[in-house]
Amino acid sequence: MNNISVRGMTKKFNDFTLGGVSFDVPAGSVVGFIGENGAGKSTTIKGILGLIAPNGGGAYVFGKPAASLSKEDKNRIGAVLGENCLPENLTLKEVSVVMKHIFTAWQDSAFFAFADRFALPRDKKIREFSRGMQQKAALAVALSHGAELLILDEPTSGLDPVARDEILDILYDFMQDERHSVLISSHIVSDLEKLCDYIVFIHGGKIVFAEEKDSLKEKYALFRGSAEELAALGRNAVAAYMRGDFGMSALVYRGEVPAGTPLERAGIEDIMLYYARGERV
Amino acid sequence: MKGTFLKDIMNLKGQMLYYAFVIVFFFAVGAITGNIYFYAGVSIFCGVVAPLSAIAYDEKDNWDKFALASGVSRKELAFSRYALGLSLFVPVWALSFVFFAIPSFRTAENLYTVLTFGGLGLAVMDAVLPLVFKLGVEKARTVYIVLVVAVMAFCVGAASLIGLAGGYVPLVACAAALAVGVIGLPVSAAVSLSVYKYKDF
Repeated sequence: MNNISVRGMTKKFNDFTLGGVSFDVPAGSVVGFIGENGAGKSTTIKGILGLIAPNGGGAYVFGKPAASLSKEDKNRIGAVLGENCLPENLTLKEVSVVMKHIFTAWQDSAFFAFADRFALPRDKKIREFSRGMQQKAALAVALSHGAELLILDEPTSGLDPVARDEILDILYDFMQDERHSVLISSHIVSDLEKLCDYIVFIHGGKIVFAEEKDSLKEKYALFRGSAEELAALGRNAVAAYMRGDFGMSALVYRGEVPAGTPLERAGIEDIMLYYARGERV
Repeated sequence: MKGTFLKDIMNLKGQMLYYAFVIVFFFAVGAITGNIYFYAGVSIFCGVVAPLSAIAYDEKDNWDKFALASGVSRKELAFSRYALGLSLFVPVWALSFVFFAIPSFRTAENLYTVLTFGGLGLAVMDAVLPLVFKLGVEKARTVYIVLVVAVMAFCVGAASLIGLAGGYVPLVACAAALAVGVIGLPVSAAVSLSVYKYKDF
């Protein structure tokens, strides 16, 4: 069962096109949505949440088209949308009063428990919060109305490593319930590497791959050597390569490389980097 | 809609004091000078400035994105601005009738003025809100200022002409202004909804 299914989602802008994006977020899983800034992550997330109308294809959430989700359906989603989305003139106490009328299952006690856990003052206006505190406040809202699905667009962007780690801890806790799932976009790949079951990589508005994190590690490796050594691996073995001062480096398919070739482990950041900046064979 | 409306009220509570001061000041000016136009003009200002400020805050806070992602409908978002505008405009306009407690104000001309400005206040709101939804606050602000100034100038000119014409003309003019404002409200709301329906956030 998929909590989110994106099928051939296309959205055209003057200077950018999201082209036929497809992937799934199965129930009980964390899906990391990676790609450089401007690759199409936020546009895809907006399409999933019904904030934009795609030109083609679309997204299904809890099995229903995104555009026809009811208030009750949307109440099952906790969204953190990158930049702060909470009214900056309000205090957390006031935010709680407002959210009580937005979410049918709003839990004051859960919200203030998160606020205390994140050391967020209840009587201070949100505009006086640091960026990290604002992100934590947004996450506290997302987690305080019984959401089963979290959709988080760059929730750790601009945060220091300690704050990022705290947020990842909260997400670990959220995933203790096997009905829950998370779609989290970030360009800080190291965060996602710790947390995710699946990785979806988007580049230039198109999905490059959508695979299980562990299978990526089995599938890809890094090769370093001379141009001749790289050529000897064969075209089918090389996903992308880069030229350096001391030779060539390449992202290769483990299964296609001749046995005995010395390879290094490819992290998700390496895979993203080679696909985004490397040359194709 | 209640959540969004409450959020607007809380967001604007700092400005409410300023609005209250302006209202009291112009009410006093009207009472002292015997000229009801000052206060009537303020009621037009109040009907638009509150939703305009609320939308400006929302643009800065990305509230619409959050609200739509959380189950607030596009209809609720659009209509909550009208609710906010009316919740300020109607009481401020209704306060105009307090002038009639002063015997010297109890003239047909003043009654027509208050009723006409009621209609014009609604008409300005009807015209400005769809524009704000379509263009955003910054671009629409210029249109709003031009519109309010134009309406005020029109009122001064029209009042003089109507006064000269006499007879039933003032009554017809105030009925027409009220009709435009009231009938324009559902039309404006429908246009705003249509703008919101196709808007990307």
